[in-house]
Amino acid sequence: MPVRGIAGSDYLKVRTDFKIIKNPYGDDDILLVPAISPDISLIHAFRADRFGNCVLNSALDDALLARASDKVIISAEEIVETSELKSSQRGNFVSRVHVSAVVRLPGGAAPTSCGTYYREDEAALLKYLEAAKDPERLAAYLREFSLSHCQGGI
Amino acid sequence: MPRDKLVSPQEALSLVKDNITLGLGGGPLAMNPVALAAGVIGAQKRGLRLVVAPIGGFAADLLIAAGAADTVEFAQLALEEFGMSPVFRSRAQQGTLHTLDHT
Repeated sequence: MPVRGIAGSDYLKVRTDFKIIKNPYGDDDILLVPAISPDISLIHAFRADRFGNCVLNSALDDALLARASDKVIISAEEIVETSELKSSQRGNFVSRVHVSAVVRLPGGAAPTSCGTYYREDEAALLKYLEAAKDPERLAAYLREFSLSHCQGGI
Repeated sequence: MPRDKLVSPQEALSLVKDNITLGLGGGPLAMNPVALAAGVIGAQKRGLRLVVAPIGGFAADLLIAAGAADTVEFAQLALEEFGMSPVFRSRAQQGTLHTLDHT
């Protein structure tokens, strides 16, 4: 993809995969960057229907990420009827054509926040920051975390 | 009738293989796919190349901490008022995490 704005900056020192080419239609240089196309993206939605249509946070770039990804797995606070998704509400609607799988995971973004559903969990985040100071405590934290989250579903 | 795609977390996460490019939605501390990331960690995936869109935080740090990811493409990876993402920071400083910077 061509990106003009950052040509001439120090970007090329840290990103050797960015390339400069001669503009085939003029005398100037063009900076090329590889497109970002994840194989799969994991995205948490406010609501989804069982076919993959969903409403994402419009303050984030999640809808753009969904469209850029080859496959998308949606976890959702609520699974609702399609007609409820079409009603007016805040959020970005993403079509099922972009979505490979939907999982019902209420609380699936915690301890990070989720719109009007819940705020960030400060105590839980501080617990992670504390564990991250020591490799053994971090390993124990991760074992417990992976067991206690992602349970249930549907 | 469109295809029913509602599945268990385990079935959904069976799509995630080792060594793929894995995008993570959310911001630093908002709407991270935390439960799904925990499932990826539990399934002991390896060699993931993470993409945060474009700012990541908690879920990305977890996946790096668990050894599931060895590369991350990002504009910013932090935990807002809680400071830097601790494991991302230490692994990047040690040179054990490949970073593709879009700052």
